[in-house]
Amino acid sequence: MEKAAAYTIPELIAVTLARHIEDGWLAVVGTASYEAAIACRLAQMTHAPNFTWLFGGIGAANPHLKPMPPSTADFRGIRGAEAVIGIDEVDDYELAGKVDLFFAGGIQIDRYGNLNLVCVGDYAKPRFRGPGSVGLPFLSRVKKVFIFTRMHNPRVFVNKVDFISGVGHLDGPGSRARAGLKEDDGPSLVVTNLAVMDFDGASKRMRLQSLHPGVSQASLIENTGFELLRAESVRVTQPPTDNELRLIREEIDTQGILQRI
Amino acid sequence: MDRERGPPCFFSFFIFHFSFCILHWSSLIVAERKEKLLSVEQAVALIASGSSVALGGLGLYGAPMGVAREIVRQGKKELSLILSPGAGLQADLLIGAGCAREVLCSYIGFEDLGLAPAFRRAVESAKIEVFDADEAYVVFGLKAGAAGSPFFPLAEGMEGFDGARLNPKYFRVQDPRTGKSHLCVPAINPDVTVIHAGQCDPYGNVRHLGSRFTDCLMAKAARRRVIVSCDELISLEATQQEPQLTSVPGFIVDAVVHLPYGCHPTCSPSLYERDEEHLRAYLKQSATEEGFRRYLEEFVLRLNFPQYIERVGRGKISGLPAQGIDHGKSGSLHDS
Repeated sequence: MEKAAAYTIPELIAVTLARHIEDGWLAVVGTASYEAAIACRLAQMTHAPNFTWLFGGIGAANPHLKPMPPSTADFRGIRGAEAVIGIDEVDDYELAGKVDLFFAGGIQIDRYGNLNLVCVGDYAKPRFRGPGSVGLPFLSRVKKVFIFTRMHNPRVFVNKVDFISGVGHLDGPGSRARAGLKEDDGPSLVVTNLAVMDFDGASKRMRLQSLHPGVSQASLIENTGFELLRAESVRVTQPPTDNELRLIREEIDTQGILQRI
Repeated sequence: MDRERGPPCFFSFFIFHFSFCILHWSSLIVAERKEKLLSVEQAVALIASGSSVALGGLGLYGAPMGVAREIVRQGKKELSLILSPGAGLQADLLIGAGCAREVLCSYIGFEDLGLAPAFRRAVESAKIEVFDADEAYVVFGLKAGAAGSPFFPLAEGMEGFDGARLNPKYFRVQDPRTGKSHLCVPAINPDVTVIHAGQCDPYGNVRHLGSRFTDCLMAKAARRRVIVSCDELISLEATQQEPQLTSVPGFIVDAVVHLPYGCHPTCSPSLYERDEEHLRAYLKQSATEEGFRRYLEEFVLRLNFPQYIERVGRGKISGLPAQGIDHGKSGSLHDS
């Protein structure tokens, strides 16, 4: 193939997340979320100029991220921001239900999009202790959740999470409504190092939409610990365009974090 | 201060002194405003074993590391730690050193550098009681604590989080007006709050040179003591020139510890970077209990604060100036 722009998987994840962001939304980006932060900035620079995002830990509203700092708690993340607010104020907006979109991940992600950041195995005596839930419980107070991870493997993509840090579609159809949540809110997109998925409207189960270039269905199945539904026509994920890649590398991530991680 | 000259005779002295007492009694009593400067050893001596201690900073940024190491050195035990929604080395060190009986936390880790090794070991071997909270618990619990309220009722839907079921500190309250039941978090009132900031004056007026994280809330919610360590000690006059920059007012601060590089190896926003080499070496070494013990011996137990800075290399830290935000006001740190 000629002139296929070379991109990295984190860049592909960021571009895919960005394309799903809608103009006018308010989003929050949390800890350890390079791809999400860069996606927000990219969306603003392309199709969503009225989209607003908050860089969670440092409370920066619409920072310009040139360059992306080494950590999402880094004070340099406030460069070019329009406001810097406290964590408590960010949390006010989250709890009050004013946030449209939250980016999230987990040490376990299940077929209904529930997320776990706490433990693998029994909670009382875990085989593996994760860092903790941080802001994931706020997922029940936001409208949409985009899940992303660079670790698409059967240990992360499990049939049922061992601990719910962030609610997804719980046990399937009707379960969000029973928990006092809106049935149609919640996780709507999953972007990994292998594929792009969404959730089937009726069964609320995770559904394959597109495979990244070069990824086979067999390898996706092998790396997913539950049976994925398939969209009617499974496509190949559209790689970053030259313009998207240029914006990321020259206007946002000028230190190339997405090329290193 | 003006001193009265000696009186010509006893009688006139008596009269004079008597009137002086009446007229100037109050000015004699409050002759001098008290500075709050303490050494790190004196400040940590204010923390009793068994008390609840809130530690400020977020992740590997603005963590009060100098004070945390001194807590280990003084052998404090049975502490109940209250952590910001993102705690790293400050928590891992205290937990691994056996200073904590329990921990209220929503995230303990090294973010992009990895998981917290001592915390993981302590939980996986059931050596510590963990109250798995979420960011909302910590933040709204502190808000309630700061306002003197007993608890904070959370908005609907937060009960989906398993911690709300497994952490016994969450509870439910019925609203008598609507009959609806609400998930609540109890007020958080740490006995002692410890934070670090870029600048502070001798009376405890604090300036953060970056984001404030939960530092201000933790200070407001403290029941007994607020300890602030700072990289740069500024004058009261400097505070007064731009009082709008004060992030924590001095009247709620009890102790000011001038501790240049007091965040090392974490970052002090706008002043110096996190020392990734040191942090990565810690993570590698602390992958085993023995390695962690060696780190404690080498960098904590044997060294007081100046010795620690000497050991890790003052030149090396000051060679890690944080590029990016120019506050235009700091600068004394790297000059001295």
